Amino acid sequence: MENKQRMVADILCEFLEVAIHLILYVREVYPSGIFQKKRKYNVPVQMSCHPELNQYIQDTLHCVKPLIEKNDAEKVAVVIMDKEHHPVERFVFEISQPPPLSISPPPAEHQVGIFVFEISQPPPAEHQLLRAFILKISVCDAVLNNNPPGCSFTVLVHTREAATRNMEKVQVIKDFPWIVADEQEVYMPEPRLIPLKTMTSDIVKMQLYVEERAQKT
Amino acid sequence: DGQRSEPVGDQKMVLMPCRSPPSPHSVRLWLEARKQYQRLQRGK
Repeated sequence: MENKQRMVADILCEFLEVAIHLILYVREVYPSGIFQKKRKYNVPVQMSCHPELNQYIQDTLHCVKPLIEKNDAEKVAVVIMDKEHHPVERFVFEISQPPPLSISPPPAEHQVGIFVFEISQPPPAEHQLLRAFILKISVCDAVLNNNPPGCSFTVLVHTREAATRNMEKVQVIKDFPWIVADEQEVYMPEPRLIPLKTMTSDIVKMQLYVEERAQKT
Repeated sequence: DGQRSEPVGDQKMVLMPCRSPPSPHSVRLWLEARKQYQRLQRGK
C-alpha cells in the first residue's frame, strides 16, 4: 500500500512541477527568455532554465510530497501575487485519493512479477488525464485578465495541523522551512472562479480551477 | 471530504514556504548577463 501511495505522490509531484513551470510561463511571472520548450506527457511545455527558480520549485515539491503520500494535502495552490503581496490569481489543485480498498490493480501489461506499482512512468490512463491538464493550463490565458506588472508567486498547501509532522523532517533536510500563511496571502476579495479540468482515475482524483481577483489593478 | 479522517481538534492550516522564490527582477538581470556571456562566447 505504501508503494502505491508513494507512486501516486511521485506522479503528482512530477506533474505539479511541470504545471508550476507552465503557469509561471503562461501568466508571464518571469521573462519568457528563461523558459525552454520541452516535451512532457507528449505535449510541448515551457520549463525554466533558471537554476535558483528550478531549485525553489523542486524544494517546494519535496516538502509537499510527504503530505500527498499520506493524502494530507487537500489543496495545492500556485498563487500569483501583486507588488503588495496580495493574491491576484490562484491556480488551485484539489487532490484526493480514493479509499485504499477501491484502488484496482493496474492493467496486466504494467505488472512485473508482484511489483505491480514499481513503474517510473504514470500508467497510460493517468498520462492522458494529466496531459489534458497541461493543455488546459497552456491556453488558460485566454480566459484570464492580464496581471499587473511586478507580480511574484508562492505555493500554498491546505492541510491539517496533525499532518504537518509529516513534512518536518524534509524541511530540515532541505533547509526549506514552511510557515502558516498570513490572511493577506490567502484572502482574495470577490474571486471569479474558472474551472479548468477535473480527473478521476483509480488512483487519484484531481480538480484544477483558477480563482481570479475581480479588480487586479 | 469523506475520504479523509479528521481527528477532533485537528485544525485545517494553510502553509507556505518561508523563503520567497527569486524575484522577477533578479531573474531578468540573470537573463541579461547570460545573453551577454553567450554573445561574448560567440565573439571569441
